[in-house]
Amino acid sequence: MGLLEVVGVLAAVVGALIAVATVVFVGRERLWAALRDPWPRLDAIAPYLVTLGVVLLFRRLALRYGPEFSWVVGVNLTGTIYAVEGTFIATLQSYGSPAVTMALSFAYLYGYAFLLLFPFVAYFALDEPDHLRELTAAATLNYGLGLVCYILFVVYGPRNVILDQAPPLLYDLYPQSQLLTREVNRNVNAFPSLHTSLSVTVAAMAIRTRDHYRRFAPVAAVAAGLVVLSTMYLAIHWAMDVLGGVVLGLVAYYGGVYAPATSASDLYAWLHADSAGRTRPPQ
Amino acid sequence: MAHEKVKPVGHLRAGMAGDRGGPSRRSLLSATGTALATASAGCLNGVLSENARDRPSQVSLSVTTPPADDDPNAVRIARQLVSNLSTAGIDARLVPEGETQLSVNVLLNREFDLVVTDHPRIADPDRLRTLLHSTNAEGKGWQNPFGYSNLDVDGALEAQCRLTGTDRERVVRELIRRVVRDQPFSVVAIPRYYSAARASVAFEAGATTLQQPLDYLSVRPPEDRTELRVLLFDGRVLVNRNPLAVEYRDRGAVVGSIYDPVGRRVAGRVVPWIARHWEWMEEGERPRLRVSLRSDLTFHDGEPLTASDVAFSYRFLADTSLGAAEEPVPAPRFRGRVGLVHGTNVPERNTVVIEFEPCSREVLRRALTVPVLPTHVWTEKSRLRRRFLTQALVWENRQPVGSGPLAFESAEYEQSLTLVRNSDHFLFRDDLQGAARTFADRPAFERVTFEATPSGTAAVELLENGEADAVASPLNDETARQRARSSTGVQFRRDDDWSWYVVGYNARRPHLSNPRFRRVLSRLVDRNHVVEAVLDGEGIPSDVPAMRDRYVPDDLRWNGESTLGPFPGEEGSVDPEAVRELFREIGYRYDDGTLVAG
Repeated sequence: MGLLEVVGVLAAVVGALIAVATVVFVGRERLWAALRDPWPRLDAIAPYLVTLGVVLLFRRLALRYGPEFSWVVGVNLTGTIYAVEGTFIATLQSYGSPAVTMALSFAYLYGYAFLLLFPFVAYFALDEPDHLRELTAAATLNYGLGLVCYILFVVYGPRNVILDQAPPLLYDLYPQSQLLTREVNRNVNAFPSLHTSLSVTVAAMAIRTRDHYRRFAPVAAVAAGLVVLSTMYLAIHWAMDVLGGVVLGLVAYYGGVYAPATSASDLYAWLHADSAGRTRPPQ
Repeated sequence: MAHEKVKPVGHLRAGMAGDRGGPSRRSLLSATGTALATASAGCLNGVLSENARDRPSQVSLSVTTPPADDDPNAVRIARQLVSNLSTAGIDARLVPEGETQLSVNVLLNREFDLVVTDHPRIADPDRLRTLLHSTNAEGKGWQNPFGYSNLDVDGALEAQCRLTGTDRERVVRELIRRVVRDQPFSVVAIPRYYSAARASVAFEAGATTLQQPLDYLSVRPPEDRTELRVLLFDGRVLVNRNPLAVEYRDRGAVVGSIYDPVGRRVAGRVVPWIARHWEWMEEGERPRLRVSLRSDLTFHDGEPLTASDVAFSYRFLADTSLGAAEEPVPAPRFRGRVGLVHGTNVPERNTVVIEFEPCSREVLRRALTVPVLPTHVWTEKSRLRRRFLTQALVWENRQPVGSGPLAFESAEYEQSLTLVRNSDHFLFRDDLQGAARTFADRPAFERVTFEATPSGTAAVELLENGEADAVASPLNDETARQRARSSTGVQFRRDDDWSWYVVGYNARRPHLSNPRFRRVLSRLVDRNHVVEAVLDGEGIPSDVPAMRDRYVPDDLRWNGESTLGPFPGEEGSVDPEAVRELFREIGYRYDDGTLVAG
């Protein structure tokens, strides 16, 4: 039904954004060179990519079974968050306008998807695979730790509590988008904001890699700021979810940066050594 | 403590004064010892008696409510209540819970303080018996979820069941008066029911929306189409199609179209449905009804439906363990109705005699509206999962086998459900007799698909685009209503007021067991403001749990304010001083602005 259309538009817009960013920040030659010799990079990130895949698979399962499980083991923090911050989101919205809503809806849907995907292209194009590995590990941590939080905490977003004071502007502007957001998350999983945490992680990575992509760093920082603001302005997240997201994003960033450099060939060698009864692979 | 300390000092002085020429060492020691002993004893006594008492602590209450995704109005009423409780010095917390979880916590586990939700309006006062009779407090589901017990109310509930006519009305009025006085739960307002459909969809035979099983027999898809595409906001039927499940309580329309009862309520009266006719038998101390079923009835899987299935259904709904458990394990949803039945016997293949408890026929007919279940499917569901919990109560019944006008075809978990017209149904017979004739050759479509949609606006947009035909959930969201009103391809539909917003109190919890406390809480909801601001004027304020005027004592009719007293504030917000005075009047105390107890 409507979902395919929404996904189609998303793919087209984000694809265009990534194409433009690749030309501007990376350069076609650099990407082309990397594509001609992808194996060292894939070798370096394979263990992390597999872990990410497993985490995403778990997340998929958790979307179906997690909420029921969460109600049993988790704690419902919605009332506490509402008691702490009250109608802050409504106050934030009062500074808005239809133009701001449009801009932030764009940031929330397309800006976020761009921030999530473009760094993989950019770091793939680098000669050294370190940053690509760091990014993959950080993304895995974001999803993995986020999933743990989703199970531990039941939190409904502002639209489920202060709907009248802080209307869900994105869904009013673009009702069909809810078909997509419903596919990727449940309404009890507002804490922490993964939009926030992943954006913060990517911005931190962009600053770390500013020597490679000098112009991308400020763009990523601004885009991340807009995504973070949009999650609150569109009444999708509480300020507390965003705070939790910032903490998660930074934890994931440092976790990713300090993740051990284990490539697929290292693992293979290690496994081989183990089965041969030797402690070190043959030189 | 300070006061206690003074006395021993005096005692010490007396001792010293009694010994001329200065206190001897011994007397001094002894005096000091006594003094210390007395002092410490006094002090200790104080400490002990102080600590033996619980410190007064702030009263705290949680307010459970469905989130706005499930019901945008309930959460706003709940917020008003939380805010007013806070102003009253109570530590109040909002607890949004999805409808399934809310049902589990409130109806099964009784884990709540206050709950704000909608509840079907009570047309027949006998429903109050299920809701409030104290012997139901250990039951599950809507059997006295409030844990309320009042012997006078119990007596009136029993009496109304036996009486008829004006005698019954008089007893019910007295019952309503007691219930309003005691506030086991508070009625807040009656919302109007709004829904929407494509302009080309026809509603016939008096139906206006898709709330009841019969509505699906009355609706006609656009001329050229044989399929009806229906949208739901509440996707529970897309997961669970067990007619016995409490936590997946829907309005019953979808599952109710799959399962046929002996008699259906048509225009307010229970009329023969799978029964051809029935007659009351005069002899015997208990009322007995001889029910003759229509001939050659079948379930959707082709198995014949006979009088023994009817008898089985009553036995099974009364004890889903079929005798395997020490005590019966009734199906909570039907306990009130099935409890009216004493027993059954089957003299002929298509005849069943139902023996009832002594009650009026008017009340007893309710018992005929429970679903008839196929014996061959449900017998094995009597297996005990744990104590007092059978497979029948937790089974999802994804591929239901009933005998109703709609039969299961296919489903995608949480996404969609397709039912097909049951062309073997008696509604398609040429010799169809009785009140069911209104629905001859129905439904008017071959298949109906249900899909979950996230919000009212998304639903109206799908209707506008012609991607769906009707919405079967209430359109509570004002934005969606406006859009449905102004859209040309969409008809905006209004139906009778079908539910109340209520505040339920868990009388098993401290303070909430006190009717005076509940009476004050009931006044903390500004019913006029709820209707104006929350329901956008689309409803009426109310505080009496009776639907029909003849059951409401004259002096309890709504006259602008609750009979318990005016709202202690303005525009939905209580005045801090006024509300605290209400709690002081019933014997509560304040400490630095917080309501304390203990």
